Order: sequence, then C-alpha cells, then structure tokens
Amino acid sequence: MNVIVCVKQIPDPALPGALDSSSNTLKRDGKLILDESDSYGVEMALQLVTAAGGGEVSLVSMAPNGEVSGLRTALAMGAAKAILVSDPALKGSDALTTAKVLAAAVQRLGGADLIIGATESSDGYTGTVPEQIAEILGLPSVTFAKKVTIDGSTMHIERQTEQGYDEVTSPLPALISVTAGVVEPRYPSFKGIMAAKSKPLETVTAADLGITPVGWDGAGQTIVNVSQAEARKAGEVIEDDGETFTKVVSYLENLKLI
Amino acid sequence: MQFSFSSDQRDFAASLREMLTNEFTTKQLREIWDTGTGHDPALWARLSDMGVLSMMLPETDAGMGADFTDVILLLEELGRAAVPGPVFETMTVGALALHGTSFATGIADGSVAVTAALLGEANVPHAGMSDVVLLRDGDCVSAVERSALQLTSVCGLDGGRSLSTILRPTGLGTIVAIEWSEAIDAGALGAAAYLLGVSSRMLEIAGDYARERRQFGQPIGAFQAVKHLMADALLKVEFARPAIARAAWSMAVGDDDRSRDVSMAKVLVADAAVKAARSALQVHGAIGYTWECDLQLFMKKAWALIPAWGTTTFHRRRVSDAVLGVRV
Repeated sequence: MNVIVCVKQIPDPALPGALDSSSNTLKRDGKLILDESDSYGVEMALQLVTAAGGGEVSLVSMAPNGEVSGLRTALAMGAAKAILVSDPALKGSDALTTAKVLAAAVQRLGGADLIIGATESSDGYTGTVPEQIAEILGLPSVTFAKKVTIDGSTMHIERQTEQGYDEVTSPLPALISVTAGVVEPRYPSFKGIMAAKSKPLETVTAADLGITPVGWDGAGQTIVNVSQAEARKAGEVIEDDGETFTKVVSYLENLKLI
Repeated sequence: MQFSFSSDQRDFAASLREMLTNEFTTKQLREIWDTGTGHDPALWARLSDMGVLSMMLPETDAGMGADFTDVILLLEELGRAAVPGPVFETMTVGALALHGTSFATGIADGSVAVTAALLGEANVPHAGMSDVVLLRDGDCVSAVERSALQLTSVCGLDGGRSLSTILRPTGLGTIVAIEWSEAIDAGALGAAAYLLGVSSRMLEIAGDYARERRQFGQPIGAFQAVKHLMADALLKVEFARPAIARAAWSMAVGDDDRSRDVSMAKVLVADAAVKAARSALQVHGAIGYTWECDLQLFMKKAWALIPAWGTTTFHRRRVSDAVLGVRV
C-alpha cells in the first residue's frame, strides 16, 4: 500500500511571527519546521503501511524558499521519499493554487492508494486544501478522519463530528484529512535522522509541474490591509474584603455560568 | 581536530530535547519520586526507541558505534531533564563494558539497565531497578546479575536515584572487557556531562524566577547583586563545558591523558554545580527549598551526583598525579 502525505513546513510557532509589510503575508525566510498537525498524518500513514504489510509513505510539500528541515523530520519518522515544490513565484499563492500544485506533485509521484492531509494548517487555517486536491484528482474524500482501517480496496473511517463520529466507507484510492491527536506521532530515532539525510528529496518548480499562473498572479484573493487585533481589556480586580466570594458568585451568575 | 559539534550531533540533541520537553515534565518527575522506584519504564522505552541508550554500542549489537563526542550533548539533555534511573551509567560504562555479551542487545532494546559500584560505594545507586551491576575485581570489572545480589533499600536524597546496600556472594560475576580505570573514566565523564545539564537547568529555573519575582517595583533580576550572582554561576558552568568536550575527545581518540582530562572535567563541573545550586537557591530564597518548587528536584540531583564517580578530592588527585607526577 502506498500513501502520500501532504505536509506543510511552517515558521516555528514557538518564535514570534512577523508580517512582511510589502505583501502583508507571514514571513517565511528562516528555518521552517514540520507543522505539528501534519505529523499526525505522517504517523497514520506509517501505521497503515505497516498494517498492510508493505508499501511506502511519500511526502509532497510546497514552500517558497527551498526549506527542507520539516520534510527531513517527516523522512526521519519513516517516510521514504519527498517532493518539494519550491519556487519564488509561489509567494502569495492562495488555497486553490496550493491544491493545484500539490495535486500535480502527487501525480508526479504516480499517485497512491491513499492521500492524507491535515484538517488545516497551523499557520493558514483555510482548511480547504485537502478537499480541493481530491476534487482536482477526481478522488473521493473524507474529512475529519479520526480512525482509519483498510480492508482490501475499501477504507473504513470513523469521521469526527460534534456529537461523536460517523462510520464512513470509501473505495480506494481516496483522500482523507485527519484530525489532530488521532494517533501519537513517533519521535524520530537517531538512525532515522541519519537515514533521512540520504533519502530522495526532489525539488521542483511550479513550472516543472505545468502549473501556471501561481503566487499573486494566480491567486483569487488580495490582502488589502492588515491591522492590529484589539488589545484585550484588563479584567475586573476585586479587593478581598472577606465577602469577595459573593461578588465572584454574582459575576458568574451574570455570565449564566452557574 | 574538530572543534564544533556536527549537524548530526546537534540534530540528535535537539530531537532528544524535544522529546523530553514534551514527554517528561517536572510533574512527571515528581510522580516518579513518589513511586519510590527512581525509574520511569515508559520514558526508558522511549529512550530505547530513539536509540539513546544504545548509542555507544557497536552496530553488531544494534547500536550506532558512537563515541563520547557523539553522546555528551545527549547526556547534558538527559541531565537537563533530570531523567531518573541509571541512564548515563547504562549508556556509557554499561555499553562499553557489556558490548558483545548477551546483555548488549538488552541495552539496545531497553530490557537491560546497568549500574555500577566501582569505588567501594556503601550505597549503590539504581541497583534495585538495574539488571546488571558492575563491580570492581582488582584492576578488572565484573558484571553481576542483580538477581544474584542481596539488596537492602536505603533512603536517599534524590528520588530519581534509588539507593541500596548490596551483598555479593563470593566469586560471583563475569569479568568484562573493560579495565577498572577505563570504567571509572567512562562513568565519571558520563556523570560530568549529565551534571552539566542539571547545572544549566538550575540556572534556567533561577533566571526565570528572577525575571518573574518582583520586589521594590521591579523584577529581582534587575538588581545588580542578583545579576552578579547569576553571572558568576553561569561563568562556572560555561567554563566546565569545554573541559567536558575536551575529555570526550580524549576518550574518543584514546589519548594518553584521557584520565587527566576526565578528572579535570569532573572537578570543574562539580564546582560549577555547587555554585549553580547555591546561587539558584539564593535567588529563590527559602521557597527554593520547598517541595513545591522545581528547583529542589535539580538541587538534590546535583548534590547526589557531585561526589558520584569520584569525589572532587579523588579527581583533583588524579589531575595532580598526571601533571606533577607526584602526589601532593
């Protein structure tokens, strides 16, 4: 069984992010790391391939600056190979362009039995790219997968809902988006880290994949303005005079919390 | 000579730090203290899965054939998290003593933990949870299975380092492929690198506290007296770091002066740990000594390890012997 995971490399969330004032987009100049929400997809793919008894996990990713640190992390976890689409022209790409580029990268890898994406990235939050890829590739897609089992050419999915989960069956090949926390991503072993440095990682441009126009030229959106979020107002301070609890109770009652 | 760590060495350390930060918080460390075992089997399994425990085993024993220059950053990270159990003992002297034996694959898969009592210690650390205890036999070292020893648990300072007295039946044990002096060098360097991590963490905790705790309208870290205290401690810790790197290189290449270099490193880091613990406690005030404050977990670890694998007197004497050729 072959699985392709769409992974995003993002600026380290532990570091303060910054906007590029010329384009009003997130600065992505420095080191990028594997989006944590994609580590669940990589882990699920590795587990499915192991359960199937054969096959491999491949990665597709898109980044404007040629960064591969995040991909190396996923390769160290156990993925076999990766394609990075990296091209200065990609800067400003919207979700649909991203989906077109990743779908083309999937096709360059020859497709797969299953394509996995995260429900949404941790820095963009559009939450639409996996389904757009499925549409472009003409595949069935299931969102919010929390448990996946493969039975021959059929996939059984428990799909997370607000009330519980739906049981969904889909033929393969297909695309799923997985929710965070569905599996426990493994930490790369030292042998995995060493091996990742020699695994195939092909870097191509959008033009190599035949996708044009991309970036701002291909985007159906423009960012016209960015403004500071309103600062949080200070909370109410209550001096304890021995009867403070009545004020706290009253406050909570007003909020209909008790 | 390579004067900096390779990208692989830095990647390994970063990966280990990420795992420990996510999976082994001080809350979990306290829980281990509460169990009284001084051991966390789940964490041990993770360290085994990552390949931390088997780094210094040869590839034929499912290890990575690493030397001390490859593992000192890892040992520092383990100390920074105060990982309980005989982790540096198993990784260093355990792997070097038991490679090629039936115990080696157990070290690699996490089923065998190794501790040692090579300096006549009355109370042996980690013996209760180790599978093999290394003991001195003249200039040689013997491996004795824990099940063959009579252990009596004793109360210790550090809850991540259980102590026992041991009674060894006469003649029991198998001589292993490491001389006593080599084993001391390996264990002392392992302890030194781990203790460096403990010391760094104490200063981090104290620094965080100094930035947060306010007196007279400003953080206490803004006062010059506190700054000097912290800077002096940091200086000691940072000056011990290159000595550990030098000792690791000497051990890796089999330098004739490796015992001197190991002892120099152990003395410098022990002095740094004393200074770091005292300064961190001074910055905290009495709260630093309380059970609820994380600092005490690391101070007690430091105080337990400062005399372990040779006191500073023992190691100063080895340096003196090596440099002067006479005992002073």
